[in-house]
Amino acid sequence: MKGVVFNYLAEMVEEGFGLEAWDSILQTTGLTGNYIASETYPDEELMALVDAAHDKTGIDKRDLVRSFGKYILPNFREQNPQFFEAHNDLKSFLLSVDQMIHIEVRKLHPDAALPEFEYQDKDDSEFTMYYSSPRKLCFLAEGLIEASAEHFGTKYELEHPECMHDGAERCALKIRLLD
Amino acid sequence: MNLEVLKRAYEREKARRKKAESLLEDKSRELYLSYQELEQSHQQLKKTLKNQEKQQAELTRLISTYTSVKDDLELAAKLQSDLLPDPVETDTHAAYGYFQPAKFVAGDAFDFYMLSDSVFAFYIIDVEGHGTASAMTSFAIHSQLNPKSDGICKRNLLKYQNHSEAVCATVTDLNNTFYNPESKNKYFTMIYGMLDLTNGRITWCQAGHPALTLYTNNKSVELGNGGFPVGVLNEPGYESLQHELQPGDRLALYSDGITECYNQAEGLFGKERLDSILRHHSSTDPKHSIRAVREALFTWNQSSEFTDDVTLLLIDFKRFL
Ligand code: HEM
Repeated sequence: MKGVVFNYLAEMVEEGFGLEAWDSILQTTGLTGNYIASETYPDEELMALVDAAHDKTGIDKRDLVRSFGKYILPNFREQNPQFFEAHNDLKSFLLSVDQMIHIEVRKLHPDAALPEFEYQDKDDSEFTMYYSSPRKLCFLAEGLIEASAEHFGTKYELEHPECMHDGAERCALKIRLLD
Repeated sequence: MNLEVLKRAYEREKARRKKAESLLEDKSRELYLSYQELEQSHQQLKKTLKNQEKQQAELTRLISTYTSVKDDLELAAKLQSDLLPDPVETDTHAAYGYFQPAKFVAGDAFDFYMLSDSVFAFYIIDVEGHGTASAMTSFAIHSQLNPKSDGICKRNLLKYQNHSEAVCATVTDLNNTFYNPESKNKYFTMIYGMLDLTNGRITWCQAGHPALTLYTNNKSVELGNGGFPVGVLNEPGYESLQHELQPGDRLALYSDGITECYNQAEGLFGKERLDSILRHHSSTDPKHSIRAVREALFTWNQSSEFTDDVTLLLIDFKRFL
């Protein structure tokens, strides 16, 4: 994972729970917290920080990661407005994540830890994003999708019928658009 | 708020800043180094390009030199064939020549002309080697032996009445001109002769050239042999030979390009083969004889390119003047 992700996590925790919360999370994990945005750090450190944040705040880990996704997206948008400007609706934006956005990310950061998405259309208003990644950050994806929907002003329902955390090979993120 | 917490947050920021700065420095260094590398390969490229331009220029120069040499050679070849005499056909005598240069230009040459109303002179030469250098020598000899230019031939014409003295003096003078122990002059073999049309007497000097052959009544006989090539010795002591021709007699002079024409399977063309063709056609028109020899030779050579110059000269004595 890139240092930028850790820094967003620190920001989110500091903004939501105060400096002390982040400080204590670092203390319990024994990590220095000296993350540089462009550097790469072990995925396990992120997991350890999420675990510690859960212990500290008592918030469900899935919710924590989901909020993290929600928190990150506006930052991504600020850094890369062009990825959003290219789309008028949520669906076409989400379809571009795997085929376009992450491909561009990979060009700048060849060692970026990115997931894979496969798409399946059911009909005009329903499609499924199949998520797979060794990091099992499917709830991050849920949060990112939620914030994206907010950006496009789209109402939707999300189901997560298959999940890697339940032993599935990949996660199914079923999205139904509500007019 | 806990001061310790603030202190640690401050330390974290400081550490991050330091790390970021050193990263920046590393990146700048990397950038600088790759810039240097780029600069180097740019210079290398410029050099390569320059070399290529040089080579291209050299090539262009070579091609133009080659073209002009080739043009010169072709011009020389044209001049050389222009120098060859046209066939002669009179009541008293006839003369036909056949000439096939090995390369553009040849070291072989022949000529014939009237020295006076009753004296027909002829010669054949074979300059060692072939190609440009040999051709230059044969050009020089040609002008020395041209009775119209101020050379050896014209001088001796005024000096000598006696044919024996004249032919010997001519070949000796050529030897004096071309013999030079200091420089690597080309040497050559030749026969220089005169035919007195009033009495049919031929007088000639042979300098290392294949002997003159006489065809009379379908029989052939070689007249004379030997003599040193011109340009080899300081004083070779040339002598003249004489023979009385009868009307109907034919003389053949040839260069060893014919007899030494080589065929992979069967070897040299040889003197006997040439002689038998000439004997077989000895009572026909000299043109026919030449054509017969030429055809046999091309068949033998199996190619239109010869490794040595080929020359054949036929002189018919038809009647007394
Ligand atoms: C402009 C939009 C986006 C940008 C610039 C972006 C870029 C990134 C970057 C830089 C990472 C981290 C790579 C690393 O730390 O090595 C990441 C990870 C991730 N991205 Fe995106 N992303 C964008 C949109 C999205 C959206 C809309 C989704 C969800 C549908 C998504 C799903 C994920 C997930 C789940 C990860 C975590 C890594 C993993 O699961 O293996 N991204 N992305």
